[in-house]
Amino acid sequence: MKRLIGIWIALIGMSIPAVAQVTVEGRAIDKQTRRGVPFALIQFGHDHERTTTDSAGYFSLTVEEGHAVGHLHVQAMGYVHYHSDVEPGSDALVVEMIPQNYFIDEVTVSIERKSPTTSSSSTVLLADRDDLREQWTNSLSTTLLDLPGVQSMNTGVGIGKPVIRGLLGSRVQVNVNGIKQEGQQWGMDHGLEVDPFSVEQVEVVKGAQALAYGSDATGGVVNLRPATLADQKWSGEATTLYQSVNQSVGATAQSTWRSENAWVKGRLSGQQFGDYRVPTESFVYNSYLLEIENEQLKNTAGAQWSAQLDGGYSSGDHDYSARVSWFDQAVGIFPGAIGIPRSYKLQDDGERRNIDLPYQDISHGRVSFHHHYHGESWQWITDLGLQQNRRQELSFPHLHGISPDTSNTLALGLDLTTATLNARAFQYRGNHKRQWGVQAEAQQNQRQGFEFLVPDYQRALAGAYFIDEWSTARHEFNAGVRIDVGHYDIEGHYQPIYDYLGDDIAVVDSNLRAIDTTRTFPNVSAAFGWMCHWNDRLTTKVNIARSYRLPNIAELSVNGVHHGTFRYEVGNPENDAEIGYQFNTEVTWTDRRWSLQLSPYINYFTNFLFLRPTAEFSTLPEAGQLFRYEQAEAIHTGAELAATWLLSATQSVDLGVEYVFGFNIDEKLPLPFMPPFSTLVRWKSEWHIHFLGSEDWSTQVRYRYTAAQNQVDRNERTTPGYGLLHLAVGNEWKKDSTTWGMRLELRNALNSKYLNHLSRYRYLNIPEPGANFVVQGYVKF
Amino acid sequence: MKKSTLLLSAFFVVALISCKDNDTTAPIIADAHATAEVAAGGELVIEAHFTDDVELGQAKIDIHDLFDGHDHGKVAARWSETRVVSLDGKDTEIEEVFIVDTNATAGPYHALVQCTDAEGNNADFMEVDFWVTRADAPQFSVTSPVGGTDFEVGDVISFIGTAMDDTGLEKLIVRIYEGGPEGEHDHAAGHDDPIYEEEVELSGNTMFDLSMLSPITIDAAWLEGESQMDFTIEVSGIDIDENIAHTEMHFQVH
Repeated sequence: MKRLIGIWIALIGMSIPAVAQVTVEGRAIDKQTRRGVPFALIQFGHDHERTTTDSAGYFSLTVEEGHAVGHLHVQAMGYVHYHSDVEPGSDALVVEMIPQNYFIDEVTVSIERKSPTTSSSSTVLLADRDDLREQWTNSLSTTLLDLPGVQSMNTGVGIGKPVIRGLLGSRVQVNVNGIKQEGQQWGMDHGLEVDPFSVEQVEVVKGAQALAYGSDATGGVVNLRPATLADQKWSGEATTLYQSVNQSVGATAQSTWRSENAWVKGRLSGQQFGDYRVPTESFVYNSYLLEIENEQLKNTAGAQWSAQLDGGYSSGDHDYSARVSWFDQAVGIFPGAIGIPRSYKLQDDGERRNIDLPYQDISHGRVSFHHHYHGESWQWITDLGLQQNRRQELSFPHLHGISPDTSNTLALGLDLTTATLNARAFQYRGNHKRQWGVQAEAQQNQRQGFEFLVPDYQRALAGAYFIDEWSTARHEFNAGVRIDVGHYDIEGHYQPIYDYLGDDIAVVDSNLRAIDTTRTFPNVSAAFGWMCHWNDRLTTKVNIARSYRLPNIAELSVNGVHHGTFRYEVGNPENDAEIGYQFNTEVTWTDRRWSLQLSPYINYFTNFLFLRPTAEFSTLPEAGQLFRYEQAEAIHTGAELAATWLLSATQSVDLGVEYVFGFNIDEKLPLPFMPPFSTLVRWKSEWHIHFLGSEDWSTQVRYRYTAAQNQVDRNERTTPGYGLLHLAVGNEWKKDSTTWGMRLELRNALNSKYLNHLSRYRYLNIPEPGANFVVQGYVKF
Repeated sequence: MKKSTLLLSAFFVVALISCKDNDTTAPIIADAHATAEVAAGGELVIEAHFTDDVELGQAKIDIHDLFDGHDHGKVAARWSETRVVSLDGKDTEIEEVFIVDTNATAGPYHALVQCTDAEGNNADFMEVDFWVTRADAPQFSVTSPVGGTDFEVGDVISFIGTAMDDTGLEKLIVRIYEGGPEGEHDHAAGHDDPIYEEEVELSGNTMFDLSMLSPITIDAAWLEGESQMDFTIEVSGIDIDENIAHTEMHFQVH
């Protein structure tokens, strides 16, 4: 990933005429501090004339005469790569470079690119298109895996939902252009309905965001945003991606037109992938040895596509924009994960790219309008969105009993429609930034299918908050309060029971699966944050919050077999909103060549909602034991350490360490699905050598060590540790204003066989994908 | 910072101490049996033995057909049953009697046995197999090969006998599996892949002469390098009412 601090370089180039040789002299300085930039790499023309700046940023480079004009490159880690034509012998050259805000993967130091709603004392990670490029996979949440503290709950390779510090689902809020992405409240195998290709910028805010985001931001927030518009009239980008592990092919193309005050942008993306390869021929489940034919996990193929159309118009201090987007995905589920895996279900069907039963068919459509007023001392931002999440789970009709129509494979359909309004105003006065916001949401779910999971319901949310941020020379503070009210209107449901009456199938009885429920949840939250710049190098952040989360529909009213989890989940309409007291801190130390960030946290929940396994069994055929949503006191704590060491102008080493521990105080047991301790070491290097007509080569070596997870909940399996090695090489060719790029990667280079504690296929003992060769080609203009 | 470190370590200590006295040991299904063959309308007895270190919770028995595993797309079985039984103590045996539906299609069935303890710890499940038989299902009379025969590589197995069905046979299948009589090939997870298979499509014949089946030559590859191995020949028939019946013969190859 690209990195580092939003600083400018200015360069003064001077040349002194000489007879046979000329000397290019100058100084590289840091725009912010006005100090020299030491050890920057200076290269002139294609002659490989090179030098580095001294400790004060000065350099002097002797070049052959005869260069009327030459191309000067100045590079230093942490600074934007500067290159421009310079004329030796001309007067002192002063170049002001476009500021480009970088960050050290994990740590955001730049304030500018944060969302205005994100407080300065939060721990934030940012990733842009180039960063995402380094990790592109079939799902967005696995694309974010390199960010410390961010994990992914996966079902195969196509379905993933983001996990922040071990919390997921309705504890992590994902916002797309300011509108909360729905569908995350559904189960573990319900992925994020966002095409990873369509994402241009990601902001991950770790820890509770009790105020500006409201309920569902207990673990953190993932903000997906469009990239900043380019200056030129036409701009665009296209990328193709191939992955060998599942024969995945994908492409995305974006084009933008802009004038002085209007713009239109369109993007189209698609991916198709086959069954993925695992480095094993068999797995053991409940003492049965089951075969994985051809080392390919049957029916894990998928296809997805997405389209977005954005447009905007600026008039004075007002910006208006609108966006329409569509996402469609069909992904097969490994048949062994539905019910008990049986060898006849796992026999190779001879086709790698087909999507057979059981599978998920998902679509997500969204329309949103945005208004942004940016005056002298006031800013207003309004987002209005309407979205529909449609999800269908298709499977064998006779799985959990007799169904009336054996040709009907629609096991479960969820159709969720949500309208969202977010409005906030920012006032900048003196050293204060005050924020007022209101949020409202109306939601409706309609169920379908021959199975039952959650009932039809309507939900309404409203919230209002006020945050004051103020700063002194060294300190920044923020404090605020928020009031919320959430209301559920849940419709009861009787599930018919079918049986044979003679030769006909008829309804013989019915089961009460959900009761009519009306609940209202009022709440008051508060938060306080403090950031202190102790000196140029040391910054600390402290955040204290009382957070609140509305129970989701499953926690209140689920009553059915959750697909593939092989257990019967039961909600409780009496469950209360989850209240947490959160204490998050961060210490950042930055130097020219070093950056260290430690972010420990501890959260206490008075009534953490969790699924408790019970002694009872469901009476439904082949369903396992009952798991009930209950509430308990819980502690959630851990820390991340992120470090970057700039070895030279072109080389860096990163370290990311993360640990999380969750403990259910009432049960005296660890919380389930907590990511194990892990450490990522990455060595990145740029090579400015002439090769294949390109001068911009880069290499990357990443090694992640993941420890065993032995702190597990009741009935949860422990997972052994493993190490993964990834290698990558990339290069770019620049011609006029067009950049062509290529990237070759070898992920899991050692073809390690390992189990992912956060995979839904973990309980089957099915290993994760094996060695994966990834090829990417892209063009930007 | 110091404060948070302190808090953190304090909670870890609390967490570690409080971890101790908690029953997370799963119960064990020590054994489970079913009547091997039961006629439709008859009594199926399932016996199971459960143990736990503290206190057992519940047991669940799910009875299902296993027809899917026999290359048979249709689901004609009319019988499946689910029963939840409460358990007490640390060491409990149960004997559950099920009356097989008189309309149950003949064929292979299995019972899935699950168990929890009082705390909700879940045992590894067990599966037991049994056959439901019917008088109107296919009937076999095989005089060759004779079970218990020893063969050498290169020997030819030929069939003598008949398969009969009053309603009419739809299909006859001959398969050879590795393994001897006692559950060596695992029904529960479906059969292992047969090393030999022949399917004969029939169009409602009420009788089939088994000598029409192809003679089978024993291949050296069957032994996979071993000096001797046990094998099972299974002859199964499906009639037009979807009833499945089978007969098995075991033999050894040197």
